[in-house]
Amino acid sequence: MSALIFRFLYIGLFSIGGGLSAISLIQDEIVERLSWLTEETLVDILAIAEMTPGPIAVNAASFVGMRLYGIPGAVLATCACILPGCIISFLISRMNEKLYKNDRWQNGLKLLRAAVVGIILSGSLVILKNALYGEGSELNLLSVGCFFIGLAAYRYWKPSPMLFMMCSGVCIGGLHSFVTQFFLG
Amino acid sequence: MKSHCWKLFSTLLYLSAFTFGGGFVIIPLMQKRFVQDLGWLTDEEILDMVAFARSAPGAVTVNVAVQVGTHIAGIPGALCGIFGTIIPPLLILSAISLFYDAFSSSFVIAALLYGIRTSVAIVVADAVAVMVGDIFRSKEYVRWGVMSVVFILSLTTSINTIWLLAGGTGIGALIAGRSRS
Repeated sequence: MSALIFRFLYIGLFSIGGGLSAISLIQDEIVERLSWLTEETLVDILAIAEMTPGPIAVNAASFVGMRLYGIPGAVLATCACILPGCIISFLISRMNEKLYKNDRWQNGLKLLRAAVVGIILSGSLVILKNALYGEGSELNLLSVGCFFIGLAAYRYWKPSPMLFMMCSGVCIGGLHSFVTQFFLG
Repeated sequence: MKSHCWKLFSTLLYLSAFTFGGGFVIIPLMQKRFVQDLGWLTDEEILDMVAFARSAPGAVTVNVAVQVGTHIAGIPGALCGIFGTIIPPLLILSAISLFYDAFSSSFVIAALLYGIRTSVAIVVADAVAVMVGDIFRSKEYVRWGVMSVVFILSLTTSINTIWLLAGGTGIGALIAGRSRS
């Protein structure tokens, strides 16, 4: 059990810059060095992590912990994996409050914000591509149609995002399965 | 403060249940909820938090939640933020690890996931358009440049995000300093 906790502490501490670096660490540590997971299970976890909410490292930790030690394993692995990041973010956040009045810091932050928007933009293009292309490599016209109609509805009525995602998730999912079932075989 | 903690916890609980596809999705959602609906943060503050969260190790979503929590209610807030964010994925993944075969072959779940993925793309596209629009409206060309270069590099290369953030800020600061003097 302590091995599990230390592995995920390590993964949590060194996965800087988001999900991809976490995946390669999990691959090195959990699959190749410790063989707690097979290569196939890792691919499955990645597929599940794509389909389910939550950060990929947290998803992997919960899944591996649950497999190895049941519920306590899942909880401890997850906490271990987020702990380093939480502590460091907390410290940064405190430091930022102290530096807030500093002019040079403020100027740096302005550009940092622009850089973050650039990164968010490229991340959102990936999300868009995954949604519109689906499994195949061709543009899925039905998805494109749903996307633009949905976007128009979202901008027009300005519903709460949660309500919108639940309703339109059910509608688009239903429509998609209806169309693929009856028109495309 | 107690009611703030509870609101933070419950907000993150349901936001976190919808972050399909990683940290990028939750950020526009947090922005809408914390900035526009609740007025706890400004647009600038949430972007700073995202930048810090990406520079710290670990999951971006959790790191942002810690900072929002600290900002609103100190350490109790940070704890509420953490638990709100990790409980949904923890529960869902634990359940799935038990029923993986049934889950991956279910037709209804596949259709629902497809629908939610498209809906998430809609919400994110809308929010990102607003953020990019804000930068372009600011008429500060250094910011346009930093955003575009970071965007292109992050899309076309596999340079780690932390270098893109640090480099974009550093080079932008140099250029800005020179043009001002």
